[in-house]
Amino acid sequence: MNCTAVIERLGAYRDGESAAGESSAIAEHLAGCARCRAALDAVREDHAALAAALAPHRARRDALEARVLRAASESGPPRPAPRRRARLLAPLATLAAGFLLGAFVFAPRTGDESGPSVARLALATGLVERFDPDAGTWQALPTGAALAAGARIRTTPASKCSFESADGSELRLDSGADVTVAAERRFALAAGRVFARVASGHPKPFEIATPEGRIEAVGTALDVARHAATESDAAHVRLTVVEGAARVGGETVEAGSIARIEGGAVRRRDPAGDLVLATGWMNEIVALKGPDDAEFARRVNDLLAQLGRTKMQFLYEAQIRAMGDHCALPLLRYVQSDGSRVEAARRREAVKILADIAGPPLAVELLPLLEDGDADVRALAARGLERLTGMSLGRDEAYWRGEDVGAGVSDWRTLLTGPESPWKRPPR
Amino acid sequence: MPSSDADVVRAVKRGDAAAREEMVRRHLGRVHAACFGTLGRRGPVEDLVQETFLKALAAIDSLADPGRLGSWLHGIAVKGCLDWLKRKERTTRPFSAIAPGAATPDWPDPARGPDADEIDRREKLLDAVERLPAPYRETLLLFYFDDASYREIAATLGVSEAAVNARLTKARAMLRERLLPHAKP
Repeated sequence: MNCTAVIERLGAYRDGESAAGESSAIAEHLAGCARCRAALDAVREDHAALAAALAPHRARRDALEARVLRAASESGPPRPAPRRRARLLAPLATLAAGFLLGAFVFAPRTGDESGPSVARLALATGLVERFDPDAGTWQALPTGAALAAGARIRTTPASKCSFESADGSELRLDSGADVTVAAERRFALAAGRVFARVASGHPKPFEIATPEGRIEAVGTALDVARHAATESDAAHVRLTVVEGAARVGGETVEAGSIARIEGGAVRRRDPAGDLVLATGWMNEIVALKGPDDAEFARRVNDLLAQLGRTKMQFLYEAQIRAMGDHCALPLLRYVQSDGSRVEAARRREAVKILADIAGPPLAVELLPLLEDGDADVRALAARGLERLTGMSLGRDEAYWRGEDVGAGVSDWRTLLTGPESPWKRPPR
Repeated sequence: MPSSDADVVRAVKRGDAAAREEMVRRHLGRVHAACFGTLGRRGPVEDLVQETFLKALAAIDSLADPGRLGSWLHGIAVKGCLDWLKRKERTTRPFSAIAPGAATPDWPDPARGPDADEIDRREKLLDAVERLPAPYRETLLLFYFDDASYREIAATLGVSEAAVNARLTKARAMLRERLLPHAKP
C-alpha cells in the first residue's frame, strides 16, 4: 500500500473500522513511514479536538433522555392498572423511605465517635479530614488513623483515599466525598463518590445510605456516586455494580448494571458499559498499592486489553499514563510476551507508552526491544532510551527503522551494562 | 427485554410501556445527532428531539418495516427540524427557543475545565461543523454523538459503509483545512 492509499484510510484505521487485511497492511506501512505516522498522529489529535468540542453537548444526553421519557410516558397509551397504582403509591413509599433513611443516617450525631475502631485510613493521595464536632471544624486525618462509629470524613477536591474496615472491607473515597461511618459495615454518603469492595461471609449486611436511597451489598464491588440536583435534573444516586449484586428498596441490581436511585428506589437501569473506565477515578489509589498488588496488575491488564481495540482508545491510553511509571513493568511484560506478537498494533501502542513512562530501572529491559522484528518497536525503544539517558549515541530514528542495527544495540548495551553504568540495576 | 428494533416496534405497537422507553433509550443518540446537525447548537435541539419521539410513537402503526426504525426516526427528526426552520422564517420566535438554557451545554467548572481560549477554539470548531454540507455534517455527528459504528451509520442514512468512511474522511479534511490543530498555516 502506498502513502496516498494509506492516508486516505487513516480515518477508518483510527476509528477501528478498517477491514482486518487492510488494517495490517496499513500498520505495516506505518511501521516504515514516518510521514504517514505523523499523518496518523494528526488524525488522532483532530479526533480528540472534535470529541472534546462535542462532549458538553453529548453530556446533555441523560437529562434529555429523562425529559423525553417523561413526555413519552405522559403521552402514552393507558397503562395497566397495577402500574398506575404503583405510581400513586410512589410518593408514600418515598416518604417512608425518607423516614427510614433519616432514622439511619442521623442516629449517631455526625462526628461524635463512640465505641471500638471500625475503620482505618489505609491510603491517601492527599489531605483527608475528619470532622471535630466539639470544635466544629475539620482536622487533618493521618494515614493509619482509626475511626469509631460516628466519624465523619471528607476528601478535598484534590485528594482521594481508601479506608479499610475491621471486617476486611474497603471503602474508597473520590475527590470531594463526604462520608459518615455510621457503624461497622455501615456508611452514609452525603456527597461525592465512593467505591466499596465488600468482604463477604459477614453476618451483618454492608450498607451505604444516601438521602436518595439505601444500598445493601453482600460480597460485592460497587461504585456509588451522589449527584446533586441541577436545573434540569433532580438529585439522584448512580450505583454501578462492578461485581456481585446489590439491593435497593427490595430490588436487586446485578453486576454490570448502573442504577439510578431516587426516592428510595431504583428508577432506571442501564448496562454499565466499560467498568474499567467507569471506575477509572480509582487509578491513583490503586497505583499507590504498587505494581505487586493483584488489583493493580488486573487493572493494567484490563486497560491494556483495550489498546488498539476501540475508537475510544485514547481514554484507555490516558488512564494508563495517569497510573504513572508503576504501569511500566506490566506494560513491559506484555510487550515481552509471545502473545503480544500477534497483536502488532496494540504492541506498538504499549511500547509507545512504555517509551514515555518507563523509569531508569527498566532501561536495561528496553535493550532487547532494539532488536525487535518490528521497526516501529525498535524506533520507540530507542526513543525511550534517549529519554531515560539523555543520549542518542549518534543514531536517529531512521537508523533504528533500518535492518542493520547490530552496532547500535552493541553501543547501548555497553553503555547500559558497563561497569560505570547507573542503569544496571535490574527491575524488581 | 426485546432484542431487535423490530421486536421493540412490535412491542410498542402492542402498547408495551417498557418498549416505548427502550425505543427512546436506543435511538436517542441518533435523533439527538440529527436534530443537532440540522438546527445547530443554538437551535431548540432538545424540543425537536422530544417532538420526534412523540410523533414517532403516535405514528408507530404506520411504520411498515419495523427493522428500519433507526432510519425512520432519523427521517422524522430531519423533516421536523426542517419544518421548524421554515416556520421560523415565517414567524418571529417560537416558544421553544426561549426556554431557558434549552440548548446551553453544561460547561465544566471553569476552575477545572477548559480555559477561555480552549472554549473559544471549541466554539469555532463547532461553527465549522455546522457549516459543513449536510451529508458530511450528519455523518460526523452520528459518529460523535451516538458512538455509532460505520455499519450503524450506514443503515441509518441508507448509504454504504464505504460512503460513511468517505464522508467522515472528507468532513475531517474540510474541518482540518479550516481550523483543526493540524490545519496548514
